[in-house]
Amino acid sequence: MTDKRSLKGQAFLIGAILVCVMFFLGLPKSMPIMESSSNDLHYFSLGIRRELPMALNFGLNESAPIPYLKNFTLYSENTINGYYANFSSIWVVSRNLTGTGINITVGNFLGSDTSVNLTISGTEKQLSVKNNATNSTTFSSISQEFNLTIEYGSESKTLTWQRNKVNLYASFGITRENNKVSEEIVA
Amino acid sequence: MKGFWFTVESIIACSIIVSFLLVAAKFYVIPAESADLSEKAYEILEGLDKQDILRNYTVSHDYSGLNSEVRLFIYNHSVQICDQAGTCYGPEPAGRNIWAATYIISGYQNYSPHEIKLYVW
Repeated sequence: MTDKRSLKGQAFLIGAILVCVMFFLGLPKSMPIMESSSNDLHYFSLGIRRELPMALNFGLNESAPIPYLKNFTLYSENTINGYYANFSSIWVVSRNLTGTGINITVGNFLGSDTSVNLTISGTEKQLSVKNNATNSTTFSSISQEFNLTIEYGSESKTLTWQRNKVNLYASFGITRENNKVSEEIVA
Repeated sequence: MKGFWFTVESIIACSIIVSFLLVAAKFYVIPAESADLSEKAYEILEGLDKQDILRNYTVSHDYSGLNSEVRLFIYNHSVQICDQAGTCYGPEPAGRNIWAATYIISGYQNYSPHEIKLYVW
């Protein structure tokens, strides 16, 4: 008959070894190989704030402001998605036409089709913009300084812009799980 | 004699547990100073951009030249530059506790979006 008291120490040994084995079996799944700051969403946001107006300027130099702005927006979205974060944005660009007219283009990168109301001096126009696409409209007889109201979803923004310059408004958000950074650009 | 072996086995078990805890602590306790490395890396890239150094190296895919401009004396570092097509230039270090910062640019003198990654370890 085996003495039960003499097995107690061996039970400790087996238990200790089991704890160690279980730890090292689970280690490869939890080991961080590369780390980045939890502030990376903030840094991406800084980058978008800095670079989106620059992309528009590069586009203006090449007489293609909207294609360049759209391209950079999609590039930013793809890049940020690579870091397991979601980037969504909407932007509005106004450009002077000949005379007193202006062209307004809306870029929608919110993740779904949207409808945008644009109002200048009581004149309201509604633009349907598909996701990851742009749509444009024109306003005529605009004063040199004008107020533009942009409405989409539950959002509303009124801006005072100059007719004879290119204006940009952008609203974007970067999210990852419970972290979210939202910013606006007016340039 | 039974009491003696019981004591020996208990001491061995305790030694195994203590060794295990010491090893586990090495894996999970990160030195406080390393917590700021990705912020530091981002600030370095931002500083190089403000000095008008970053973009020229980036659009010409000169990751080695850009890496030589990074001043991080007590740490190892390397730069990787990725273009819009997803092609990356420069080494990506392998291993543990490597911190990374990412900096996006839309171009230099012309439109040319790139992503710059600075790895620090």
